[in-house]
Amino acid sequence: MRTIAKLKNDVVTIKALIRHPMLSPFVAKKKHKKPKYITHITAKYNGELVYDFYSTQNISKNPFIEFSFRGGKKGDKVEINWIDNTGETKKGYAQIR
Amino acid sequence: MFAKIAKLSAVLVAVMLLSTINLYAGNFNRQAEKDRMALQRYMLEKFKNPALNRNKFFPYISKEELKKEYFTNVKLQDFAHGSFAINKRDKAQYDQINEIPPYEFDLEDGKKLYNMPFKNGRSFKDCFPNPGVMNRYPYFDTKRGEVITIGQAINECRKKNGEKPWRWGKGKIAKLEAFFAYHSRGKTINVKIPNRAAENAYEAGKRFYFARRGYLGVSCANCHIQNAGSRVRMQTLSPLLGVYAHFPEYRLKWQGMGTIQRRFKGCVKNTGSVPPKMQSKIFKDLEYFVAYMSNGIKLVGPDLGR
Repeated sequence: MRTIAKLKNDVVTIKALIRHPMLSPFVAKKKHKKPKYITHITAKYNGELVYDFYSTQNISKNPFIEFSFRGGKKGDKVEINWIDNTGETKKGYAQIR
Repeated sequence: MFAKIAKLSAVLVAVMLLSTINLYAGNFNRQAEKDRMALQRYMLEKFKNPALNRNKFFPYISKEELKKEYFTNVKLQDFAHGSFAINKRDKAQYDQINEIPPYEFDLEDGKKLYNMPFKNGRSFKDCFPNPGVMNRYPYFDTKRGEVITIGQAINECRKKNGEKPWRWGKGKIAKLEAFFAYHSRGKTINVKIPNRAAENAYEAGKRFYFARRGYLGVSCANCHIQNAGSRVRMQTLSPLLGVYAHFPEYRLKWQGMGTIQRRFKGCVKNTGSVPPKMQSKIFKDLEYFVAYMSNGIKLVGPDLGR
């Protein structure tokens, strides 16, 4: 996961590129694989939830997300979690600059 | 005394012979140099001020659009980025997407492929000890009498070590090429033409580039020299100058990396004709011609494409 976090005028903007094949059931059948796609992405800052995202199958490979919130400080970390339909989870961090 | 005169005359004759041989050896790229300088002059003049030169170069685009959307005074090294150096809107999209380049995951895969050992214990490090080799390809092998491209060199390394060759154009070979290109950033393209057979290969590539084909009846030169900067199917056409500097590229249409041979195949298919096979003789000669036309431009490694 690649992340960028910027602080400007009291607003923190975060961009992230998540590495995931995102195989919908239709495409997976063609390639003779099992469907595998992200269902839930969350982001937390100091224990508080700042981003909550649910999806099903219609997002393409390596999804890109962008969101912003107020109240962040320089040097702090934002934790990004995702979980997919097979149960796999992964964590990533974004450091605010 | 006579011995001295004999020695002196022998030395003089040898020097004269050597000088004539040297003069003759560099002459195989005379026509190629003329073509290259003519292309550079044309492109630099075309994109100096598109709004002013509208009648000569862009008769089908309105003057307001030329003033608003096109850059002026494009320099030679900027052409390495293709159509993103010409159109302002494309450049804005390019800057936005390039904050987190989408080919970074392919670069990681390429690094793993470079270090992965073959069955006999060796790896790509033995064939390519320094990964920054993209500026040395394509070259004309005088002993074998053919053009050697980077893709061909990669698969020959695999065959030499007892492995099955990879598929051309996309997948693992494109990721490894991207890894090589990333480490060759900043090096100058310098393709040479050493003998008559190489000159024939260059001329064959040039003939393919300028020949009309397919049910659309267009050639590569119609779109990428004559109409470079104009639009086709809502995409800005990239010019021939500097094409080799930004390959392999991550094309948003492919959602993955692809080599220059893959792009050749797709382009020829778009004109409505059956393309030759990738890494066949004619496509290798075409790559030789296209790379020679970008001599003098610095590589910018794996880049984005539309």
